Amino acid sequence: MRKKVICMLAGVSLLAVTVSGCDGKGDTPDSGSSEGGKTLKLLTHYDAAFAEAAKKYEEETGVKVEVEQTAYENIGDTLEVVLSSGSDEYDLIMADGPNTSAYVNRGYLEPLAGYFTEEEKGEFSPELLKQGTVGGEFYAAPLGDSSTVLYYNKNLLSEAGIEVDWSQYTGENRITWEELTELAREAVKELDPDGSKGIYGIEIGQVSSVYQMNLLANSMGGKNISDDGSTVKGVIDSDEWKDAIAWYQGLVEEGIFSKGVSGLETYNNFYAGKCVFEWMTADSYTFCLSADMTEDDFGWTYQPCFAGHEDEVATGCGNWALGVSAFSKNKEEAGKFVNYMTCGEGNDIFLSIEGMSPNTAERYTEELTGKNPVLEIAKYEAENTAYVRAVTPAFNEYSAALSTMWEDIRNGADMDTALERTVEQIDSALGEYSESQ
Amino acid sequence: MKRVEKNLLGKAGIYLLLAIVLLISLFPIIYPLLSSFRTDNELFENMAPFNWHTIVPIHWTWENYIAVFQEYEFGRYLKNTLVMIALIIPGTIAICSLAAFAFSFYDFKMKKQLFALFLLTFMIPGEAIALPLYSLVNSMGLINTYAGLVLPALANGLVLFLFVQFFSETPKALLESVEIDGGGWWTSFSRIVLPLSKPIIITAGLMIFVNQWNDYLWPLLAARAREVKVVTVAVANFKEQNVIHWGYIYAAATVSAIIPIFLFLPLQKYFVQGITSGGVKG
Amino acid sequence: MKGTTAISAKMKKSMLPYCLLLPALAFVLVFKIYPLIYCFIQGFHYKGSWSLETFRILFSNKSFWHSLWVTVKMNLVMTPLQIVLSFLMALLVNQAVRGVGTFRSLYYLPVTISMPVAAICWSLMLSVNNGLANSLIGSWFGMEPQGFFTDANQALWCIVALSTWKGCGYWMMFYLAGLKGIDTSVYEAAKIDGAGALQTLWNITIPLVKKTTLFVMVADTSINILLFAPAQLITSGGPSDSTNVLMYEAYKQAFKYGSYEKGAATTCVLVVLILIIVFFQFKLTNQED
Repeated sequence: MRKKVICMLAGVSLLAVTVSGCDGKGDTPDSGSSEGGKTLKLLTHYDAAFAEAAKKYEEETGVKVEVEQTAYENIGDTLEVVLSSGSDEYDLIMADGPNTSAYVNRGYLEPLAGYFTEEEKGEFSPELLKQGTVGGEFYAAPLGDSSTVLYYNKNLLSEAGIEVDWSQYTGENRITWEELTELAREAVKELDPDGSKGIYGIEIGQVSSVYQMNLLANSMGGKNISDDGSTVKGVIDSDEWKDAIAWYQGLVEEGIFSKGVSGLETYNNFYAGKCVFEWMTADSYTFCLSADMTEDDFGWTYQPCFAGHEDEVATGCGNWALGVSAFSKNKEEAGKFVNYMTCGEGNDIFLSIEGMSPNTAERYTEELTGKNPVLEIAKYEAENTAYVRAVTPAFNEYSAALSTMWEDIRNGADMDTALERTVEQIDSALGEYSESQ
Repeated sequence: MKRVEKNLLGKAGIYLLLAIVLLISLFPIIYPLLSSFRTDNELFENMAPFNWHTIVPIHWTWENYIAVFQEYEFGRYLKNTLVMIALIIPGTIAICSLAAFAFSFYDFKMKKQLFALFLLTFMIPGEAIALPLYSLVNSMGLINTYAGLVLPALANGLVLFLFVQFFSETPKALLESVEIDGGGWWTSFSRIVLPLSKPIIITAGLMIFVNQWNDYLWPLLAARAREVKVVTVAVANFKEQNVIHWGYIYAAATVSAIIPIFLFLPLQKYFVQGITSGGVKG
Repeated sequence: MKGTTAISAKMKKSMLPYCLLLPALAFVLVFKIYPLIYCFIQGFHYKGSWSLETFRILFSNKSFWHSLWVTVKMNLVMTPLQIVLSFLMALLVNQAVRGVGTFRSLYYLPVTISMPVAAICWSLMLSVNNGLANSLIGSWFGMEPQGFFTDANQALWCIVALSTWKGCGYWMMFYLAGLKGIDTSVYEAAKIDGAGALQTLWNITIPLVKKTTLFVMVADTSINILLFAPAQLITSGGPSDSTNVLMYEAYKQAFKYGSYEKGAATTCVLVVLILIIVFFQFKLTNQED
């Protein structure tokens, strides 16, 4: 009997020692606790901007916002785990525009109707409002916008002896993809005729991503999803899409567009002078500068259009949005903060630190465009040519399947086979969501 | 025992083979090591055509390391990881050695089934249980604490297995002599078995260290706050939305690889010994 | 099972062993078994209630079978490859030459690198335009640049190469232990009988490390069937779904598409697959007795 007692004590004390020895609680912030005012928690990769805005907010309202940082690629997965278990760990939810629909479908977000006036909502760019509205309800307020812009390497062009009067191009009168391709051909012929230096014509920043590649098809008149959101058949295998796909594939084969360069390396190639042109986003301006390029090295212009489709040009839009967790215990406070961060002073702070395109027309101030002149173009595009991505709860499946398809096209796959498989995959995913309706 | 295959290959042949395998093993490590001492632009500019400088930097610089430690607080994450491991190793060894002691020296009902249960944990994919595990740990209030990182890691089927194998080598005579002298299980355990287990303890410790040092998914989900974030999660910070800091990744990877290496090299003698005497043999 | 000693008749009946087991058992049950059972149960749920619908949806989905095939294809090659290579490596470092200990430790190094880091390094080395490999191939061998991770025919095998590179050092250690456990007198006897090196290898060494081989085979199989980190980090299942292993599908279901039930069902299938293969592995090695 004594032995039994001793060994039980040993076992239990071992357990106790282990647990107490591991208790790092003293070190870590308590979730949801507050001394006086309330505390909101947020997970984001824009931690610098949010921290700054949070400081100001606390001064003004006494509400504390704890900002937790994680890498951009981890946010989606982490939030999925946290929200699917109904945890109230975060009050504020960062939703990448197109994901809003999926989050709402899974019951993760709280409607924001009570925290925004109609006037405030009306000020957001229409495409951004669309991205954050599901079933007529407003769920995720946009933090900013994005826009696609064409950049060119001045050094390489002058080395190749090519002179272009870029000032002639405006929003209404753009360079065409066909003209651009010609320029690229000439340049590469001069700069790297035998291909040994690895210099090529045009790069796409977010290559093989739905965000940019779909725009090629959109610019030919193609849509992203059927009007009722139930299928992509007849949409992505339409003639417009096939034209765009064939055009792109041909140029990859010719070597004008790159093959095998991942979206991780495309920007580096521009900074290192490996490609003459790169189709990137408005905030790429700031990245070029931080990669030690100056305005003597590079320039920019409006995204090209397709000859014969000048009035159908589609540019990218949409960016991260902020919403309130359906499981939050501080919804009222959270909603007010969302308003602060997207309509109020918080947004100004955010934009000045992160350099994102603004979410309303008024915010394209002289100060902002002074810091990033590319925003002039972004403003025009947001008002005139922005084309929103498919709004569907199955966006992740949609995006994964299409991404794969674009990459396969890039690698030379047969267009019809790839389209058939992709349509099947996406429709099967879409079908499951409509079943639960 | 070692075997000399002089008649098949000759010493020179053996060294040649050793060198070739070494090159293959180490090159994917040396390349990032060298690349961590140059800027990203220099790296990409010199990729093609292939020359000496594709691998070796032209301008050696510490700037990647400086940025990684200053801007990104890498030192803090190193410390966090080491603290976490320092808590896991003794905990795991303690409970697994006790359990192995039970399996090796006692007969009891359900012994086979319980042992099989422990071995089963081997085959459980971390990703499959991540979601329910998160819910569980969250309901215990242990997210973003060291406890949340340490407790799930203590049940280690492989360590238990190693200990059981090792203990099975212990001569029964020694234990019987303890009994004759009137000692209990604790005496057997602490006076005889444990001291003999030094090699296997070191082996288990090294294995646990390497596994936890490189563990990625669970720390990502359970330990996001600065105070507990670990190295593997921190490395992902260098991949921003629009730009990847390759130099920083390589610097972090190099530091991250060097630490287990420096631990392993001096202790590898025990490691082999541990696996040999306790390991799976013919 | 293992050799055990009952210390005394009294002990046999006592609760002591259970007490000793208790901490380990508690942790295993709470942190490993409970979530696993939860996962299994979820596979048999559909939208919150018990149903086989999730499995039905899964099995009627073409990509499920494709992913299953990719997984099987990859493992048919990878596991035997790793077993053979690590065995050969163990033979190599078992030689009595000076400094072999250092080589041995250095061969273990790839194991100490984390998978995300290894994936980044390999993907950059094998990058089509900016990669070291193609640079070399072009400059030294004058060959066309290879697609590696972007070529539907090569990507899967590049992943196999990466995992093999990373894992062999680990299994090599176990084989080394097994080799060291062989009595040299056996070899001497063989020599006296006039057996050549290859004969000795085939007829003596290999059978004598059978237990190690079984262990390595079982452990490696489970790890490899569940392996998806390279597919996730480098190829995202592509190109053309050629690297879309089943566990990656499960991961995407749970973490990206918000359908934990589907992910759980897929995991169930994988675990069953592992059990089946391991069962046959046991059968196979027992038959040789």
